Amino acid sequence: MSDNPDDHKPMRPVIWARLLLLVPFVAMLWVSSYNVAEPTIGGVPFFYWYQLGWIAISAVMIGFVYWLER
Amino acid sequence: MALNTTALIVFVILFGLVTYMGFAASRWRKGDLDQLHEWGLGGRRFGTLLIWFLIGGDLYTAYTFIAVPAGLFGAGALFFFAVPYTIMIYPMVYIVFPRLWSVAHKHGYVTSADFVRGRYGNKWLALAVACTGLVATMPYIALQLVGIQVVIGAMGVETNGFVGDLPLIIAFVVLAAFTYSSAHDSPHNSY
Repeated sequence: MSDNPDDHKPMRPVIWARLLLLVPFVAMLWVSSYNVAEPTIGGVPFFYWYQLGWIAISAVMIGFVYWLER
Repeated sequence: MALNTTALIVFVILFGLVTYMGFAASRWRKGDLDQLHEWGLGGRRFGTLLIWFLIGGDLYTAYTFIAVPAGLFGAGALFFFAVPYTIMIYPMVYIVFPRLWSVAHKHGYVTSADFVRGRYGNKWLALAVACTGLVATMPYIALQLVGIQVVIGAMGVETNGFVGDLPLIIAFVVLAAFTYSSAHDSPHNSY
């Protein structure tokens, strides 16, 4: 991406890709799906590492959508 | 409480460094600071990388680095709310911000009140948004001040009475001076 703001091109929304952005909402709001202690990773309960994992997953999803739309 | 000399020296050095950088920032990529968009937005020529850091500084504050871990330590899983909350915020930001940026850039909006006035054509609505922004910032600033006072107190400096408020007053005047003289969001992004 250019450093000059005047070169900023409007993004072309790709609707099917934007639906991907809803996935983190479903995953995070569905608390009962991850409100458990087992299995643990290195002693860290599922509840914690699962949510931390979603940080990476949602970042990759947003990056993918950006890559499609830019 | 005894004065913690080591902590005090580290604090003073870091405070001096941040203050120096704050004033130095006013000379870096200098624009005409009499123009509001130069003072508030750096003339809109910060570029992608710097904006990335600035948005990071806006989102991840002392609250993120101190209050949330402290809450987790003290109250447990309840304070993990900050993680799913952030995961859900970014997709929304991805949809809204590029569009907001384009519209604001095209019409020269600087603040959210400018945007509301341009979009809805109602100056009273714009005034309400501006006032809400100001009022909402007050408890945030108060929180920062109380935080600085706790830090100063932890170093063993007296924090009661007028003499106790002096370190806080000095810190605030310095921060206000470099915010006024230089740029976008200085105290927020420095602390």
